[in-house]
Amino acid sequence: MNQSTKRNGFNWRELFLQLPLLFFALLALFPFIWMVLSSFKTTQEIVHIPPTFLPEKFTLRGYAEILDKLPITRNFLNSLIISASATLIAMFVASLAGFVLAKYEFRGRNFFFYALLSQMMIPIAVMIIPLYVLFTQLKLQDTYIALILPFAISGFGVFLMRQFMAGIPDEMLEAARMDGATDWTIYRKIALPQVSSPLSGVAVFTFLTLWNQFYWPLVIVSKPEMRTLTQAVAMNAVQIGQRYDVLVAGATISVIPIIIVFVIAMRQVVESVTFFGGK
Amino acid sequence: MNSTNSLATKSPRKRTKNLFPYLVLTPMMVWVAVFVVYPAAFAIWTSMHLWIIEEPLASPFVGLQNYINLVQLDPRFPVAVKNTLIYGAFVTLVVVPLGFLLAYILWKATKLKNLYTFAYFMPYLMPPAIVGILFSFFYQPAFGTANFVLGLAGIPRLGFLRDPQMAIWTVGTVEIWLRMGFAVLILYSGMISLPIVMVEAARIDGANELQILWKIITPLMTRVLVFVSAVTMITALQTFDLIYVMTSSSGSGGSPGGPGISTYTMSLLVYNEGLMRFKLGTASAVSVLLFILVFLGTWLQLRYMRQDWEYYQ
Repeated sequence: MNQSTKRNGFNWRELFLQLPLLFFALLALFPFIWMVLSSFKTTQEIVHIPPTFLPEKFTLRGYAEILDKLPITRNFLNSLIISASATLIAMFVASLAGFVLAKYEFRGRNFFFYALLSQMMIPIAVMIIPLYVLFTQLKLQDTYIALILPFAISGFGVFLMRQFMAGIPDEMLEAARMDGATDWTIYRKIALPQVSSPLSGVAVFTFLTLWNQFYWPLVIVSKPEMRTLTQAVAMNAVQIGQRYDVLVAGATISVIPIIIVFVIAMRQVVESVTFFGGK
Repeated sequence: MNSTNSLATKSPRKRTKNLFPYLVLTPMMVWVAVFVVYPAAFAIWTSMHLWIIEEPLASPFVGLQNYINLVQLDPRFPVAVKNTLIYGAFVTLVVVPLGFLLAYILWKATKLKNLYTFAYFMPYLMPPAIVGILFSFFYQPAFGTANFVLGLAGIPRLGFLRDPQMAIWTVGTVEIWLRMGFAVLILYSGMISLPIVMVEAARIDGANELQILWKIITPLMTRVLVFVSAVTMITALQTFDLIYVMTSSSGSGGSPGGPGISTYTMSLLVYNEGLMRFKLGTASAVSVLLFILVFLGTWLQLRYMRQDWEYYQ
């Protein structure tokens, strides 16, 4: 692939390719770098022209103020509980549905498959009012159930799992059946370990979808202590306007967990995304 | 493509029908009924009734009156439809070609590839509501980063989110920033699995880089390109978080959709009409129209994709 000549020991072609790549990488990362650095500045310094890069006077006032103003620990726990519960449900449902849809032949198989996929087709704006009415009538506003259940199944996850489950050799499952294994055991002990990598991709995506959500919490949550972290920080920022130190500190707090998850699970994330491009 | 072997029919010992799939799938169907079928049916039903809060079931049937009222009486409706279409087209038409070009450069390069993949994909994982807040600052007219950079190039200050003409495009640039990594990553992985023989053969025949990119790689990538543009478009048509956050915070100093009503999208109109004004009938009508729009887009793309699949099989 690399057919360029390396005269003088320097690869001009590679440099020519690296420059635009580097430019866009900086463009993608700049807001994060700016955000973290600014979270240690005062508002006066943040709005100063010309802008400073590193904090001139290191301060934690933004963080102190947001911790003081919002029940941020509670918001963080809410996000964690909601995202983790939905992720567990999504993993279980996607792998189990994917398993039976790929490895069993039964009447209505396509119907079940498309029914589960239909979840991806409905715009969230269509669901928002009916779900609001439903959960209000059930008196379930401001509850974890309302925040977890509607987004706990992922059509994308079912689709992905079905594809990977289909790749497991039938002989392997047959052999287990001959040995007297039940359907559940075959799923749990034979099939599931084979798809652990794409399944963790599903997990990361479900987790982030719930963590990043804004529209649905905005509609169904009114108590400040039931807000998710993203929601609490975003709504606070909309209200406080000019206190940029508080705003940036809040943004940093809500984004750091995502960066950590991504750094840990980058390979699985990339693998499950590239699944579509690489086929 | 599907594995047609199955545990239920092949197993010689199991003459009786295996109920395991039904056992597993039935509870999931309850979920689908409550969280997919019910909302869709509710939205359609409500869009044809005059919603009465106290007694919903007594709401009188009004046919298409909610839709007619929207078109004739609500000045926000044409703005919302126009903005939704502009936004969807703008985002898709920048993300897909630029993402394709970046993926191509990434594919040709040999060094630091993992680092670039990481950097490009990071924005895609971020909460749009938080990203919107950060960019509201960058686009702040007086001391924002965008005007500072423009100033260095000698370009006079722009109003960005405070300019009714510019605001929706400004939010669009943030959507582009958010979605770009997804396009790059998928297109890049599509290129990795291209039959390299064809590219090499063209090069030996004397084709230059540009010819190879346009005549060989692009046709082979059609399916992936359609997939990426479909997903990008569907996402952009439904935008809510960015609009809500960016047009109500430091942007206009007013309520979401500002300045004035200039940045209303269909998703925002559903929210405002339904959950601020509690006019569920008209709000549902907007949501049904948005659904039709998204569905049409998806259907067109899928149809195109299917033809392409058949070609490959």
